[in-house]
Amino acid sequence: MLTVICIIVASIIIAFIFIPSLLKIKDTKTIVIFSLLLLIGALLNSLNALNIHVPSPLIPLVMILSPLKKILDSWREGGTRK
Amino acid sequence: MNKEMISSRQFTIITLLCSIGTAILIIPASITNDVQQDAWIVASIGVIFSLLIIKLFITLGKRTPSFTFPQAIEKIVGKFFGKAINLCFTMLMLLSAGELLYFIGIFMKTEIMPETPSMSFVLLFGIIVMYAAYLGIEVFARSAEILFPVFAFIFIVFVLCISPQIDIGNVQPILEASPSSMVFSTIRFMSLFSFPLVILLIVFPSNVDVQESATKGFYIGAMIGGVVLVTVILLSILVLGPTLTSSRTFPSYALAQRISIGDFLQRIEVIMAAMWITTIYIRMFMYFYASVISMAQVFNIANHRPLIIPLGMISMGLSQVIHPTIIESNLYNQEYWPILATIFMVLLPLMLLIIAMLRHIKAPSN
Amino acid sequence: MSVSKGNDTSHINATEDCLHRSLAKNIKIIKQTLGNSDDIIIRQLVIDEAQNQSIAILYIDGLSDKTAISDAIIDKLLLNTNDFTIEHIKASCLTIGDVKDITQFMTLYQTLLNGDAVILIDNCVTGIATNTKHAKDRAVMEPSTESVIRGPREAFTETLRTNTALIRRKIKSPNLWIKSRIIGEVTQTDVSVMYINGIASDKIVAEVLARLDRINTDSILESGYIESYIQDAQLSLFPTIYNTERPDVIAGELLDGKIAILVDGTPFVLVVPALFTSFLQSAEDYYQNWMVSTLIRALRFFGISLALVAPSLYVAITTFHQEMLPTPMLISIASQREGVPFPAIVEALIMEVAFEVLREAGLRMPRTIGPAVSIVGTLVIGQAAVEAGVVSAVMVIIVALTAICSFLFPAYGLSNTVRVLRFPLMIIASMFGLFGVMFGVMIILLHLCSIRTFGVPYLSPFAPFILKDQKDAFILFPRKALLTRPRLINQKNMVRGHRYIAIKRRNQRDG
Repeated sequence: MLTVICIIVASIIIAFIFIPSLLKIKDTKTIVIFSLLLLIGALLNSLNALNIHVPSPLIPLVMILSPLKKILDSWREGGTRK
Repeated sequence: MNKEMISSRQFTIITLLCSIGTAILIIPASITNDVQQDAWIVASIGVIFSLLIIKLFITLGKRTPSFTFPQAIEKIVGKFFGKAINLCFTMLMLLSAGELLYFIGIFMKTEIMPETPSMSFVLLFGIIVMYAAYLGIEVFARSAEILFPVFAFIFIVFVLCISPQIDIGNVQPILEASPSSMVFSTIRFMSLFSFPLVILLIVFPSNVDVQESATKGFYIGAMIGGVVLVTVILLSILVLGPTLTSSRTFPSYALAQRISIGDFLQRIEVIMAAMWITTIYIRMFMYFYASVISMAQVFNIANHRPLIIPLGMISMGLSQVIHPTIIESNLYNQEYWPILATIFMVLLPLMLLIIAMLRHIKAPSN
Repeated sequence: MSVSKGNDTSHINATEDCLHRSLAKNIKIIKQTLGNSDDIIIRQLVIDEAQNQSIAILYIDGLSDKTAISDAIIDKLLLNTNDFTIEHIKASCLTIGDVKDITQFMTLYQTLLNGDAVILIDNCVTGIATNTKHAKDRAVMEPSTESVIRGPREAFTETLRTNTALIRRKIKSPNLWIKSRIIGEVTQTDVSVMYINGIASDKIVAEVLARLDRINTDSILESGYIESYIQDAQLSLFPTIYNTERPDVIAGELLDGKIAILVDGTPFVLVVPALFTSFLQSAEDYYQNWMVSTLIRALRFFGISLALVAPSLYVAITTFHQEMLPTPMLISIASQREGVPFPAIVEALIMEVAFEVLREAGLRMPRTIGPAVSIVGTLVIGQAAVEAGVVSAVMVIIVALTAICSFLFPAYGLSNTVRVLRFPLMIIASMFGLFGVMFGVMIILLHLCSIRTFGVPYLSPFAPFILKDQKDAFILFPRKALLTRPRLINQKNMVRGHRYIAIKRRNQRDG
C-alpha cells in the first residue's frame, strides 16, 4: 500500500513538473497524451505493487504468432527428417 | 532548436555495443541448446549474413537521409499507414525495453543479490535510461564513448583470465548439427544480434555528422560486436562444455564465475557484470529512445521530452508482467522473438525499401 | 538589498548634474555627498589673492600617493604664478603621467574613490583627475594553495594592475588584450577579461563579455561572485570555471586559447572554459619529465576514482559481495568487524563525517595549531574508535586513503565535489551493493557528459573523443610533440609550434 501511495505521489509530482510548462505553450495534445501515458504507467505499477496479476501483453502477441510458429516447426521437423 | 549531432566514431561505438546488447548474456545458451558445440560456427555465419541485413538498413536509411526512422516510415507509406506502423513499432520497442529491464532485474536477482526485489534494480536502471533519454542522443553518445574503453578493458581481461581453462575437446566433433537446425539457429542468433540494429535508423543517417564514415562505422561496429559475441560463445563452449552452456540461463556469467588466477583473483564476476550492464544500457537506451521518438511522431508531438517519464514508468511496469517466469522468457526468446524480429526488423524495412523504390523516394542529390 | 540599491540610485540621480562654476559650492556638495567622511582630504590653495581665486585638491587618504600629490601637484601649482587656465595647468604644470578632464560629479566621485587626486579650479566647470593611485597592497608572494617543487614562485595579489602586469610579463605579445568592465552598483569593482587575440575564440570572448554585462548586482567581492553568475551548469556540483593564483598557469591557459577573468581584490583568477581534465592537470606537469608527468596524471585519475568510490566499495563489498574478497582477507575483516555494533554503512558514515569535521576544523583553526589539532584528532579518534570497537580498523584505513586521495587534486574545486558525492554513493551502495555504485557512477557520468562550459563539452577530449588532443589529457607527450592547441576551444589558430629538429640528427643525415 505504501508503495502505491509513493507511486501516486511521484506521478502527481511529475505531472506538476511538466504540465505547467506545457500549459504555457498551450500544447493540449501533449498534455492529454502525457497524462494518459502517466496514468497507464501509474496504474500498471500500482497493480504490480499490490501483487494483482496483470496478464502479460505478450500473450495476444504469442497467440497471433503461434500459427506461424507451427508452420516453421513443421519445416524444421521436415528438415531434420531429411 | 539545433539538431543534435553525433560523430561517426560515436555511432560506430553505439553500433558495436548495441549489437552486443543482451545477446552477450543469453545467446550462448539459446543457440547451444539446438546446435550444441557448433554454436560458434552458427554465430560466425550469422555475423557474415548480418552484413546483408545492415546493407539493407543502410540502403533504406540513405533513401531518406534527413528523417528519423518513424518520419521516414510516414514519408514512404503515407500518413495513415505510417502512423499505424509507427504505433506497432512503438509498442514493440516498449515491450522490448520492458523485456530488457526484466533481464536486468532477473539477472541481478538470480545471480548477484537474491534477497533484493528485482523491481529495485529495474527502477535504478530505468532511472539511468530515462535520464539519458532526457539529456538527449548527443549526451548519450558521449557516455557511450566513455563506457567503451571500460567495456573493452573488462572484455579483454575476461578473455585473458578465462583462456587458461580452455578445453579444445569441447568443440569436437565439428559440424555435427543438422543443416536445418543450423539455419534456424542462425536466424535465432541474428534476431538477437543484428535485427535489432534497425533501431539505429533513429539516428542514422539523420543525426550523424559524416555519413560516409558512419556507413563504414555501421559495418565495422557490427563486425566487432559479432566477433565479441562469437568469442563469448566459443569460450562458453570451450570452458563450460555445450551441455552446461545450454542448461545455464546466463552462461557468460557462469563463465566469469570460473575465473580464478592465483589464489586472490577469483569470484570477480560482479566486476565482469559491469560489461553486460554497459551493453544492455546501450541497447535499452536505443529501444527506449526509439519508442519515445516514434510515440512522439505518431501523435505529432514536437517536443518528445515530456513523454520520457510516463513511457519509462510503463516500461518499468511491463518489466514486471512481461514474463511470469524465466521459462516463459526463454521460450519467448527462442521461439517467438525470432519470428517477431524477422517481421518487424527485416521484412518491414525490406517492404519499406521496395515501396520507396517504387515511389521514387530518394535523397535529394546535390 | 533592494532597499540599499534603491537608495544608492537616488543618490546618484541627485548628483548627476555638472560641476558648478563656484569652487565653494562644489566643495560643499562633495562634502555633503560623501557624508563629511574624514578620510577625504580637501586641500585649498589660494593662488590669486587679488581676485581671491583658489584651487582645491581632493584625494582620499590611504588610497592616493601623498608624496606624489605634494611633489607633483601642490608643489608645481604653487610654483606656477601666472596662468591658471585648465589648459595651462594640464599642459605645462602637472608632472603626473595620466590626467583626465572631469565635468560631472558622477565621474568625480568615481575617480576620487578609485584613489585619483582631483583638482578643481575656481570659476571653471572642468576639473582635472590625476592618476595618483597608491593603495597599500601585499607584495607578490609565493602561492599558498598551489605549491610546486619546480616552477615560478610568484602568485597573484589583490591588486588588479599587479595581476595584469604579472601576466604581461609572461606573454609579451601585442595580441594579449584586456577588456575591462566595472561591475557592482555599490562596490564598483574592476573586472578585466584577458585573452590572446587571434588564439582565443572570438565567439567565447563575446559570450564571456556578454555574460559579464548581464550581471546586475550591488557587489562583487571575490571572483567567486562572478563565477556563480556566469557558470553554465548552475545545478551542478562540478566546477565549470577554473581558478588559480599562479600567473604561469594563466599564461599557459591563455596560450591554449582560454580566457582569464581578473577581479580586483582577489588573487584568484578565473579561467574559462574549464574542462574536466584541467582540474587534474598541474602546472608542474609541463616543467618536469613528460613520462613522470604521465604517470602522475594516471595516479591522479586513479586517485579521484578512489576518493569517490572507495568508501562505497567497502560498504558494498562487506555488505553484499563478501565472496569477492580472498578468504584470508575476508576472515580478518570479519574478525575485526565482530565487535562493531553498526552495519558497514553506519560505520562508514560515522568515520567519513568525523573526518570531514576534522578537515574543516583544521582549515578554520588558527594556523599555528590547525595542523597539529587535525593530525592529533585524526590519530586519536581513529585509534580510539578502533580500540573502543566503534569502527573497524579497515574502515579507518579506507577513510584515511580517501582523505589522502582527495588531496591529490591540483585544483581544490573538484576535491569538494568528490567530498560531497561520496555520501550519496555510500548510501546507495548500502542499499544495492555494487549495482548501486554502478548506478551512481553512471548518473554522474551522464551528468558530466551533459555539461557544456561556454559551448565546449566538459569531458572533451574524451567525450567527444579527439585523438590529437590526447597528447595533453590523460597522458602527456613531450613538449616537442605538442604542436597543436586543443581543438574545441579554438578553431582558428591551431598551430602551437613546428617540429623541433635535433641538431645532432641533422648532422648525421647530412654527413
